[in-house]
Amino acid sequence: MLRLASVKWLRAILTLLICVTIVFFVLRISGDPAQALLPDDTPAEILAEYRRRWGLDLPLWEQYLRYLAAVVRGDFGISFADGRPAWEVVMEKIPNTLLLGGLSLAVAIASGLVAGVTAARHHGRRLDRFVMGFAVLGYSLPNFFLAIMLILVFALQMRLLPSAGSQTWAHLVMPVLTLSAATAGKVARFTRTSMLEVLGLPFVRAVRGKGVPPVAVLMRHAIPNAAIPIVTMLGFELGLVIGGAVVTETVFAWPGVGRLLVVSVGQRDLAVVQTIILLIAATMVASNLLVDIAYGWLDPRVNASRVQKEA
Amino acid sequence: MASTEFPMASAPGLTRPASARARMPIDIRLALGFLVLVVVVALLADQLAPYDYAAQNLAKRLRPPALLGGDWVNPLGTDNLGRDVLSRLIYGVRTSILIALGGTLIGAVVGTLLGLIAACFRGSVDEAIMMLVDVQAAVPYIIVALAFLAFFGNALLLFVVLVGLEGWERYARLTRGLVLAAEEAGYVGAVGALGASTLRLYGRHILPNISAALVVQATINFPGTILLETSLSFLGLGVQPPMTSLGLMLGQGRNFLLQAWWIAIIPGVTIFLTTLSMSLFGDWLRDRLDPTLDGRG
Repeated sequence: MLRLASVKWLRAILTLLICVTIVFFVLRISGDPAQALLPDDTPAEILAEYRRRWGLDLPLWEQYLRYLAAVVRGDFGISFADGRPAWEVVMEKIPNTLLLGGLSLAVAIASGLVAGVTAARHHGRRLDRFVMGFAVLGYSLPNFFLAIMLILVFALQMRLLPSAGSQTWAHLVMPVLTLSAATAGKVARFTRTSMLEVLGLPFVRAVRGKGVPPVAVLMRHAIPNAAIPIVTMLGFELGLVIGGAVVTETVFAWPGVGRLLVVSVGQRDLAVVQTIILLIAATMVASNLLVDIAYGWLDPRVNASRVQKEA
Repeated sequence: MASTEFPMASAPGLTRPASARARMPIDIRLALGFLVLVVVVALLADQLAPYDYAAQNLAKRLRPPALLGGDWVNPLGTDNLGRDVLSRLIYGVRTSILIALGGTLIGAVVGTLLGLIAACFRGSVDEAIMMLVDVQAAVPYIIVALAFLAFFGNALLLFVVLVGLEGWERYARLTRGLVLAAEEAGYVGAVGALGASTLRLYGRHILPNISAALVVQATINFPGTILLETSLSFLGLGVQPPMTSLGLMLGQGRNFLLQAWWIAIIPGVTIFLTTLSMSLFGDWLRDRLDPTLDGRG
């Protein structure tokens, strides 16, 4: 158990280190940062001063070590568009993104689970096809198109919801719908398959035969067993939500990290871009670690077999 | 999505021949038909488009489509600069489809090559490539693509390559797994014993044997590739004017939703139908060819 945990931690840290290294080298390959960031007609002395200030005149390995040290300290450079440290600029957007992303993920998981279990219980009947039709629609509608249609119907035609901004709770409705649709659809489909598999197993028949009421069969026996593959999938879904947040936040002018990323890419504000990239990488690595831990906790068989395989 | 077999089919005289079972269901045929249409439109854009897609005519801005009170001069209406929406749609399809096709090819070749190299050299090369695959799997690809666009600036060639590399890690992982499995198979040992070089063994024997699974992977990957291109273009960070793409049209039309919703909705529906058709077709193909089975399947 201890060995398994340390292997996982080491791997997570190594993954992060590789991300930092790739970002560093790609940034250096992409050209002289001083030239990219200052206007074309900047005098040579100012360029040189700039390079010296940012350590761009040092040998590459020294730049790399300084970069690593800076990243560990949380120093990602100064945002050129804003003039403040990139870390600060990104941090003030995080609560908004956590609110939008967290709520979307919660809505997606809850509605996906309910839809999937409902479909599985009515397997092959009209309700099953109806629910699954919606699920397919959910994950095959491109998020930007869904967002545009929601704005068209609910903001412009019916005038029910605001189309941009973040002042009230009503501002959250359409972004959350947009961001949760794809994940909800996938969770529903996955839950249905997983439930159908579990419901067909002999132990479920045995539990039913024992006279356990149907709801208890579902809640106590079928769902916990079906949950194992669903939890694994959720690790990947976080990536989907983060990627989706980029588009969703931009369309609805939601002041979060995704929109900041799009704006910064447009302005080539590299300090902010690299901060966001590394933050997202860290989030994903942490969530994969969590999923692994949750997996072992949900299914005690996993730990034993994995230790044998990986040791 | 496999249809359930009815017990009737196994009754004497009612057994369906294998070819009948292999026939395409109606939704797959529709999907395939739509995809063929899209590709034909992309290839014949110059012949099909009634007008120059960039020609502006400020005298007839925001005309509605013919069926919504417009005229047949501009069957799908005009946009905010008086450009013909049908012509723009046709050229948008061309750009999006060509980028997605070219990109898919790039991603498939790069991913497959890396997978082959990993499986061939094993050891530390394998470890290094698989580590890279893990890192890629850890960061959403659209974020990676955005970072590269920020670092290197937007050039069309870079954009196509970036779009194409979406999903490269899936090809690499799949190829590596398939090659390792193939090496356990008898034929590889036999060809090796006959004295074939490594290159010949991989190029002439292993690659053709695993190609079906790779083709399936490409069809499954294709919708993601289109969505990446359209998303980035929609955000204004992909295809740049004066070129047009489906995503760019949607992004530009977004500012005129109230006066002229069709400018945005028409390319949006096209993107949706294309990706949906490709997903349906890809799922069906995977069920038919089932790459998890070995060559006998």
